[in-house]
Amino acid sequence: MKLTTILTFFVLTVCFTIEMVAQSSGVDRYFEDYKEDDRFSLITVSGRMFSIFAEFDMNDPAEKHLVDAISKLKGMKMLIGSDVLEARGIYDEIVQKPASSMEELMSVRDSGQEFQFFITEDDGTISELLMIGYQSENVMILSLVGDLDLQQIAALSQKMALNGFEHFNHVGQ
Amino acid sequence: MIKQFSIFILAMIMTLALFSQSRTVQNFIETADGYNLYLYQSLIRVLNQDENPDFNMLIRDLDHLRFLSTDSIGTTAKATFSDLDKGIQGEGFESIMSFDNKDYKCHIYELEDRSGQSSWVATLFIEGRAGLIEMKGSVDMKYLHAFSSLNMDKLKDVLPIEELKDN
Repeated sequence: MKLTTILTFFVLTVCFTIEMVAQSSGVDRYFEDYKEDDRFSLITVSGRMFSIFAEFDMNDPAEKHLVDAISKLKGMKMLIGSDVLEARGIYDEIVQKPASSMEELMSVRDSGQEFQFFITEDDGTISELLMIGYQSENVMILSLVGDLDLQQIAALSQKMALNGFEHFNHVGQ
Repeated sequence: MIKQFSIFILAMIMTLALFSQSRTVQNFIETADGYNLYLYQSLIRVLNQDENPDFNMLIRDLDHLRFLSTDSIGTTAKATFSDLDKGIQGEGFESIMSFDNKDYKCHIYELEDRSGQSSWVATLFIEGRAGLIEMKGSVDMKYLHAFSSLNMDKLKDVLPIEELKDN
């Protein structure tokens, strides 16, 4: 009985680990691939930093709403490429790579720009939001991880000066 | 760009709770041959542009901020930045925020001791120079709103921004 319990626990742990690796193996490697490329900037923020933001005492209700949204984030990674001639090609490659567990939430297409938003949802809880996009010779990937409320993230998108992320406001409307 | 970046980094550091000195920081203090700027509490009080009493409360437990940089630029500075990073990581600090591009790099680290107190270090690579920002003491988060009283123009005057750009 004890051996069965240990084996079950072991199998569950291995499965869980494989699932975690599978989720991060799709797009994560692009953050690594391009961080040494001079045309790209990489920004990472840990959950600890977001928890520090959450300690800010805001009087304005709108700001409190934003701080509440930020406090639920457990991590953010942002890769931004500027003056990238092959921006469209890079976008076309990366947009095929989100993990199979992610589902497309929204896409925005216009002349010279395209953005796609993906989410990981489990039992009604959104744990990851991924934005992949290009605009002219700029390409960007944004990954937000945490307990995500789409309405709050939509409000946050208006405060972040990131090309393409403003489209996420449509979700909040 | 460098002005906004430097002020942003300084603002970020000032919002953090506590810095203590690591071995890597101590070694860098002894060997850094570039800019070495101390901002003691008495000087920071001068930056209180509207004499806001809450600003003084904000920094009442802050001992000093220190900005250190190398004098050399280029590959030597890149190696120094890399060494600073490795040293800090080797002491068990965890990265909580980072910004990397070809011209600017800033990595903010935290190390929490057994009593739950955190130490913070930021390593920098700006305009070809390596550096770090250290803060000793603490800021009272309850008075964080008073940060708006910080006189940014005076702060720019005391920071080595123009000097770094000129060299």
